[in-house]
Amino acid sequence: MGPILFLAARTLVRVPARTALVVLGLSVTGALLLDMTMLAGGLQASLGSVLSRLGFAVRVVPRGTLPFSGDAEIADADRLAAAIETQPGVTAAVPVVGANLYVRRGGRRFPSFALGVPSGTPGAYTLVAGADLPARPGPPSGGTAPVVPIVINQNMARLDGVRIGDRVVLSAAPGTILQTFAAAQACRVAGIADFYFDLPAQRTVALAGPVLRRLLDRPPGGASLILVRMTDPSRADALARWIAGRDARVDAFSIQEFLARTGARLTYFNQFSVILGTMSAAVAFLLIAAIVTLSVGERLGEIAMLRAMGFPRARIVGLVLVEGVALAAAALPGAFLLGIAIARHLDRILLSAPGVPENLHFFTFTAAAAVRTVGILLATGALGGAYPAAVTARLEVAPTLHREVVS
Amino acid sequence: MTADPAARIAAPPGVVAAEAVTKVYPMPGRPVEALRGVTLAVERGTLLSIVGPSGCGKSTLLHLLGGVDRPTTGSVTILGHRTDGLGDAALARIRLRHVGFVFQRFFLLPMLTAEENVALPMMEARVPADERRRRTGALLERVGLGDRMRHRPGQLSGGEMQRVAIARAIANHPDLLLADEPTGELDEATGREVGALLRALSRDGLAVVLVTHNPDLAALADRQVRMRDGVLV
Repeated sequence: MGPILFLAARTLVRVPARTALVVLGLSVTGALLLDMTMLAGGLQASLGSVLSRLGFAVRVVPRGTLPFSGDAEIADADRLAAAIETQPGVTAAVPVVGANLYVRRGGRRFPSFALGVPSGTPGAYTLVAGADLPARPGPPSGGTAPVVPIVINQNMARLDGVRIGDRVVLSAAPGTILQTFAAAQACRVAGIADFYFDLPAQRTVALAGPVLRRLLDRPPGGASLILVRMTDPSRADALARWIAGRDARVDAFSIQEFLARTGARLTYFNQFSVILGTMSAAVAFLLIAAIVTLSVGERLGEIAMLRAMGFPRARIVGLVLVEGVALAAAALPGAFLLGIAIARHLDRILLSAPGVPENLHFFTFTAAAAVRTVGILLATGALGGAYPAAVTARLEVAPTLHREVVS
Repeated sequence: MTADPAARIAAPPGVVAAEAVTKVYPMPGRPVEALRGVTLAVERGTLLSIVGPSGCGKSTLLHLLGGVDRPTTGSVTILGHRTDGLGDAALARIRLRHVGFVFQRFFLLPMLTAEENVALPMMEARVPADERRRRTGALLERVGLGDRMRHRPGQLSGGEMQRVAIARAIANHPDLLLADEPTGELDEATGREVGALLRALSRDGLAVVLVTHNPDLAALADRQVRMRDGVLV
């Protein structure tokens, strides 16, 4: 260990109680800084994580309906999906229909979100119990519709007591009277799944896309969005450009582009975190600058002695800067522990707000957030040490030694 | 010697020499002339004492001889290097390798043990750790503190602290030792011990310059010079 690091380490423990209080204060401001860096990109990182888990590299939606609208439709989605599947690297293009409808079970009826997918499409949800939709269902084409299998979400199982094997009726109409004018479909619950973007109490069902279209009285071939799976996701941007160029009625997004567009709508989170993050960095700066300046003021004689002993001016300046950085570094473990604990608590509060999907998080701990926090805090330490370092740089050795002896 | 060779002049005899040195401090109103044309040289193995009333310029001269300050006019030469021709870093290197300081207030670092205080200049001079340990032990033995190595300054008496400061000052085997009122905060008996130590160091070949008010301490010197109003008398 060089003399500068050695001296800086010993100086930190020179007045242990004072150092402990400063480190504690820096841990608190560092925790807030970490929380703000986690918040700045947290929602995007969380969304990106979920999207990556789904395994679809490109999303195609009716133009201007990002991120999703159950009302807008791509009219001939089946044909567009078929065209996309001819592109190199595409393993599947899945038209998905989304709509609100009602589930009746016994005497109870509750609103639900329905996802119409081609049978046996992996990735739209993750099955947690029972069986998935069959790969080839018997398509209902007139006459008495058979009982079709559906997959329900965990909310429906937990909150409404629906179990695997139960029979339910799906209908686009909210009441029994109106139901006589609308199609209804008898269904059997085949499985229970985790749907990634469910709201806290939202009920969701997945069923075969053609069945849902018939229930909604929509023409065949349409879809709310098309999900594209690729062997090489690095070609997703090129494919998205090809799709958007081919059909002017749709927007096509790779995951990166999707996140960038979503991020543009979340700028208020960034602004919020930049303001509060800057405030916490400023407090850390003032804390470090004050304590190191105080410490240097108490040690002017010793510092002049070190200079007289042969320590060059630059070494002493370095020593003071290292003291600032060392204080910030000492606060990092506390800042991370406290920051993560506070972030979890704040995340729970925000997730309890209406309209927030259960699997998304506002505060996401990522390597980038950690590196940014460490970098800002250490830079703040160096900046905080800069003023007292400048004081030592200007220190005149002989007059200081004389003053110290006379005083 | 690592200082700029270009700054080296024909070396006058002696470790340090001051030639017609003046030092003027610019003050509001009128400048203060602390030194007015002092010429002085100190040889190896010599103990020189500088005596005189407070404010006569003794400490200022000591600082100039040690290269922590530069003269307004005239020159100071340490081992053939004119201090006015050297930059801060080069002058610091000369101080580190060739000059040791002892002050009335000791200026030991309170968070370091006696051995760490003594080792500090050697760390800066990049003396290897093994050599540093060996030399630190020997130095503290020499000043009679072999059993106090791990004590912090707060656990030492004034005399012990000053002996640690002397051990630190000679840690890098300097050629010149400058002591400014080294017994100023010590009782008479301890002051005598410190004086004897400085005397012994000069006998070992060190050039020692001692600024003091203490006539007994000054009397230990090989040469004694008296100052008044910034000049040698």
